[in-house]
Amino acid sequence: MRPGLIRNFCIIAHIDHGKSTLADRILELTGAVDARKRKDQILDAMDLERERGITIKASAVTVDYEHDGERYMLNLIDTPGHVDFHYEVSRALTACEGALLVVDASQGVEAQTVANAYMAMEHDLHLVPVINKIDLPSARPEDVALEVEHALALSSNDCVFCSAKTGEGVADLLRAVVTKVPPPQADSEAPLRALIFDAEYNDYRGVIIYVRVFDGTLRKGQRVRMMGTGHQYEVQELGKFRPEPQVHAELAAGEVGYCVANIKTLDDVNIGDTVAEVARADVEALPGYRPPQQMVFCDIYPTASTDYSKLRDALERLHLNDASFTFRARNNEVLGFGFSCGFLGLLHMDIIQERLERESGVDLVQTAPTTSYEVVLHGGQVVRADTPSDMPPMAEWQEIREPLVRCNMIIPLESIGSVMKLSEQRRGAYVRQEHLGPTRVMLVVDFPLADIIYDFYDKLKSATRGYGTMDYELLGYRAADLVMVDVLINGKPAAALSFVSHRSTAEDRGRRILMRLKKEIPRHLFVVPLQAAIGARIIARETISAVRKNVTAKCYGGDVSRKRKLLEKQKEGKKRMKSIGNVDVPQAAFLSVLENQ
Amino acid sequence: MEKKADQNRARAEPADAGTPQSLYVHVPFCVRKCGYCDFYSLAGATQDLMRAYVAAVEQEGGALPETPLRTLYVGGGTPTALPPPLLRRLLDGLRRRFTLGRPPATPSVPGGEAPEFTVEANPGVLDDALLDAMQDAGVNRVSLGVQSFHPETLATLGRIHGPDQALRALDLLRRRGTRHVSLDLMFAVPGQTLDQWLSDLRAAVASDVEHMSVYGLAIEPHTPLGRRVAAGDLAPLPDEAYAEMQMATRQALLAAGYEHYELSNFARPGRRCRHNLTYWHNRSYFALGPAATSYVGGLRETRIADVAEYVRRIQAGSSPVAETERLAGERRARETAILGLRLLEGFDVAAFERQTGFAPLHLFAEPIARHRGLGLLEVADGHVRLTPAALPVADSVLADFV
Repeated sequence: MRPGLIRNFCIIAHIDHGKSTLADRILELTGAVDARKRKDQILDAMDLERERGITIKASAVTVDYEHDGERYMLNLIDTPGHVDFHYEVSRALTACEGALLVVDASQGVEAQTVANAYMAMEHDLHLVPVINKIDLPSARPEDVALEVEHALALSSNDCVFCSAKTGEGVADLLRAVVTKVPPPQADSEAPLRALIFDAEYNDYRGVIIYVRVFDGTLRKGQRVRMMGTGHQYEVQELGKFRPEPQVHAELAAGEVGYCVANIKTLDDVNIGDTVAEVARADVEALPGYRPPQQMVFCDIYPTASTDYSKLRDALERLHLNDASFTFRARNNEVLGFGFSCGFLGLLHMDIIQERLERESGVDLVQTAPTTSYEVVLHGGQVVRADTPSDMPPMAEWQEIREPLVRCNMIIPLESIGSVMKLSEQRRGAYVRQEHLGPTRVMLVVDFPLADIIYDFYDKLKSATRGYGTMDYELLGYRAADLVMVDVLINGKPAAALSFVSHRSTAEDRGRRILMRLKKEIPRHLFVVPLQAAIGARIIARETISAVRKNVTAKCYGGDVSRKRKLLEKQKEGKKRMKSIGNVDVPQAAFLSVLENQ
Repeated sequence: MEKKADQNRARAEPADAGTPQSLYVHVPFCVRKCGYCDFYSLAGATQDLMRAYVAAVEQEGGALPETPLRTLYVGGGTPTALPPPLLRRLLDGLRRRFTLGRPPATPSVPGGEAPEFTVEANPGVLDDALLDAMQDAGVNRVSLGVQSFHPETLATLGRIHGPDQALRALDLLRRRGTRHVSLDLMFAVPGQTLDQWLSDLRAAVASDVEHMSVYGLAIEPHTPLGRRVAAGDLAPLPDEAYAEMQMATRQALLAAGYEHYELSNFARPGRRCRHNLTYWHNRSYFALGPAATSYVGGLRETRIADVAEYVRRIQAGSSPVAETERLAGERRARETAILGLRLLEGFDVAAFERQTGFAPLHLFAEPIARHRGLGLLEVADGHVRLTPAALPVADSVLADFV
């Protein structure tokens, strides 16, 4: 097809603003799906996505559309809804020339609306603002159009008003796609260059990659090479989802489709990589590739140690579908065998954990999330440490750097005081604020990732009575005054409890941990000191006083069995504890520290 | 069924430890249940049931080997809740059935110790008729459930007697020349002060008894007292107060010339309770009656805690045993250790090994080292024993031996 008749576009939106419903309506209106047979939200394949209203995997659907007597090919590229999948979103955006920016007519502009819109602008996409859900009684489409103008400098006159639910205005929207989104600049004669913008694993077909052909033509039987990995494959099948798969012999420049090429695992594929012809490998790779970067880490343990291998199998299976999280075996001195896992962000972590529990049936213990640090050693060597146990000793540090994120929060105007206060508590650095209308404001604050990784979102929600939304993007690593805090039980360090903290909050956090331990560790026959220390310097101290009374007064013939069983139970309880510095520490004590921050 | 019961009984014959020389008889009747008691007993039973009970005990006892006993202990419940004629019948029956004399097999026992025959008595009901029954049956030791000389404390415990009755009962026993009197006392009762407790101890010492069992109150959840505590009606004494009273007890009674020989027991020299020592030495003993536990040939058997059902089973010739337990070698050795450590002299290393087949300094090397390090245990003159500092926290130490 002539590139002039192709439109590649995506829909971007804040969660629950109606992206999936709109996609369904577009499929119906273009005749790709029979309205009577449709399932809601066809593009969301997984139950979990549907339940959470989040699209995890991107996919692409091709529909035909008649306009002014011409037959257009519209490629709707679905993008993940959350900025945790920032990189995946950016690859999907690269495959498009335009984007529908969907905003809920009653909720208005939200944090992810802004984050997604900025990202689309960075990719030079033409944005079509869409005010959706105009059928709602609480809809305020004109206000929201003005919010779009204030927040994003997109003219309110360009907004398309629609209701994906009733179908009203959707035809206008399709017209806007054809008339406003530019066609791809494509040269079918040039050497092949296709962008892998997504991939998924299928039990029967192996890996299916989604590609956008920029130059040349991708053909069945062609020998291709992934320029990043260097792996070579023969193209076995090409096609498009309409939305059922439809086999094609080739995908020409400007087109979007899927490709099957006997690729075994997702680890073999890099999203963002360029597919070239083996015979013409001298081409330049498409720009922008980078490996996924895990920013959030936590340990996952099976509650029952016998479930370890079940958990490992489940992680391996999940990894086939999502190569962007990492896991490695870990042996915690108290919690036993488990895994250290890395995630793109907090939501990504939640999704993986939920899927793990659901798909494996294993009860999990999850430690509080941490982030990764860069340590510059005295020799100048830079070490990345994803968990405190990877951290080199403090004496070897020349400098330590932590990830810094830019966070935009959209909140009711009246909450600004409490959100500013919350931000200060989390070491936030104010950047700017923008009024989106008379009652809503966007606050931009830079935070150390470590300070918003745990319970910040919950706190923001309660500071804004549920109305606040947030999103963040990584700015990079920045040197900070961080320290490694050790926790000592009866003078012996409990390695599993060491943590990295900003110096200014180390004492507070240390004290909180000691209080938790004090609550959970039973009294012993001797006084047990608990300490938090930076190197040799004690920064906090608590004491567990000794047992004063534990004696059975009466023990005669009829009491012996019961009494022995009670003592056996005491002993069993001790056995399940971890002994540190002669102190029996119950698992619950570790969990009370590790699950919280 | 009958045959099977007989076989069970046959198998219960001592196999290794020799024939027991002690017998416990449980009398599961009370005038009224005390608020803290979680032993099996029945308040307000009919005389018919009591009569049937006595007959059943006689019948159960008839199946035991005719062996000379060194100790016989009739406890409860409240043995003195039986009407005097029934108590007399029970005690006489026991006396007739069992040769209460110096065991022929041990002629060299110094001084030819007479057998110890104890009956527990409630000061609220003790009278001449009951005492006659005991005296005539050869009872030579009476354990009197005094608990306290303070009316408030007795009321909190839900005892049926007052301080005057306790003194009257003591006087009665003395006038009859009872050779060996023991008092039960209780501390750490909600509301009790240290001063009150010290005055209880002074009163007990003044009564010049041979033996005292002094218990810290254990509040059991399923008792009326436990429920009152759970409901917030009564506040249990803090652990510190318990420990303080326990230490004060030891001081006061040592000063008055008593030996502290078991965690909760004190005696004038030579007046330790030989029956109870059987338990702490983990030696075998017979038992009769509902809820009573025997330990014969390594088999521990607890009879059903239901008088009517006990009577029915005995009459039907079936076994009254509801629960049995037989520990394998090492667990039995460990049990022997936790019982032996209740004694202030501890357990004898050589005797322990002879009795259990395990060398204690090897089997318990780790806990012995740890608790010696903490000053809670000592190994001296061939014994392993708790130190006085360990007494309030003995269970924490014992838990490492079990």
